[in-house]
Amino acid sequence: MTATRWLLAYLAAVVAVTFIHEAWLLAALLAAALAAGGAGRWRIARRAVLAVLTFNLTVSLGYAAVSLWQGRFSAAYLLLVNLRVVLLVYLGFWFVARVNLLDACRFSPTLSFVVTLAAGQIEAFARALRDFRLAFASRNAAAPALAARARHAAAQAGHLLDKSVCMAAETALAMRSRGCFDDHAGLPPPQAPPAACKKP
Amino acid sequence: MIELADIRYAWPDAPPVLDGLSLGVREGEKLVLLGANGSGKSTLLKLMNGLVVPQAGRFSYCGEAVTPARLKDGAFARRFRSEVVLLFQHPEAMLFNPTVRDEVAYGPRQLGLADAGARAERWMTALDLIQLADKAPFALSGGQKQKVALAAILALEPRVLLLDEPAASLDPRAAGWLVDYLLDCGKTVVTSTHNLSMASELGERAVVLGEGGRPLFDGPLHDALRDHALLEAANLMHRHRHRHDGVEHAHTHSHDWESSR
Repeated sequence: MTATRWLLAYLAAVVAVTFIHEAWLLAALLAAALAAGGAGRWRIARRAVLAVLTFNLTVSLGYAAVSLWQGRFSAAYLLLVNLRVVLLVYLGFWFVARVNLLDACRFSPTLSFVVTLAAGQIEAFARALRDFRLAFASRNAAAPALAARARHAAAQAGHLLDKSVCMAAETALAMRSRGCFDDHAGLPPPQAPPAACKKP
Repeated sequence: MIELADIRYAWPDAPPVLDGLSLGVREGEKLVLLGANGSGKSTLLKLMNGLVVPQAGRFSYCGEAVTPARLKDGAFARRFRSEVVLLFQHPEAMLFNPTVRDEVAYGPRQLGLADAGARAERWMTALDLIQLADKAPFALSGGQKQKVALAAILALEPRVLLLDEPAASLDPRAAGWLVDYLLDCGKTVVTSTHNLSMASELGERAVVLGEGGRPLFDGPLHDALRDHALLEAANLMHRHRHRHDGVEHAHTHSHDWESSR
């Protein structure tokens, strides 16, 4: 199957999963996706669970607290939502690990362009984050205090924000420089240079 | 003092950046790691700082294996982190305190050293940072940030300095100070660079890493710098055409590339 067809299959699967409202069916699909996941299935599953853990835990606890207070708590609903999110994220990671996204988007030059830009940015940010994490570990001979952790997190967030603004501005300038934005749509094409400017 | 035996390391979802590397560093030695971008110099320094764990091979410091389990031992981690320090290539990753003074004093304070403040003053003075002492590190220029990061690790008065492209954004005066300091300090120093003119000032022994993390050379630095075939193989020298007085010819030579930031 071509990369583009994998992309279409993935998008169809994502839409289909959002129409399923039975927890047992989502669990069965998750099991099937794991079974089909190949050698890297547990690494991808672990990554998917870690990626959603904080957010889902917060949302689930919030839902549980509010619904208990209102007297309409539903464990089945909580299970359904969490299974759906884990399945969708697992499918996303599985797709990215299995299929070259650039190949999959090759049918559309604009989409390829956007994916390339996004992949470049993701790589740059992943490296920056890794360096921040390792530098903090390197500078702490003993367990860091909570205040130091908070300052480090703030410094990291500030740096990433600066970097993203700077990279976005640079990328926009580079794209404009390479003619990606058609600021002169509708104008006549450029004239041939006058004879004096032509090379002999 | 530092022993690496048959090291293999690959970042997640990437081919190995170091493969089959064995290396020993004696106490007081000044070792220069030479290699092009992507040759694994920064990864090797992170490995020597116990920040990444090799997938194969063994890393030991002063005869003790450095493993994640060993680094969970508080006493060992405390000793290792205060004796072996790393200056990152991008110093902003190391800076998170509200002022330069706090940044430089952070390490000694964390170790509970009574003279943390005095150490900070001493190293800020040495690196000409006193006038910036109350400024926020994030507001400084790249070169100033690099000096603050350097002062922050030197304030620990470590035994081993691991420096990743330390002169990449230093001004000439600070770079000169660093070279003098490294030659006189008596500490074990491992410096990575791809700047060949700077390399000759930074030590007496070189390890040249080829593309793909293969060690190509381990020996006297000046021998490495004279071996143009070796430097060309390591992508540290290149051959291109020159024109002199209308005569065109080609030969190998180096360019003192700036860091890959």
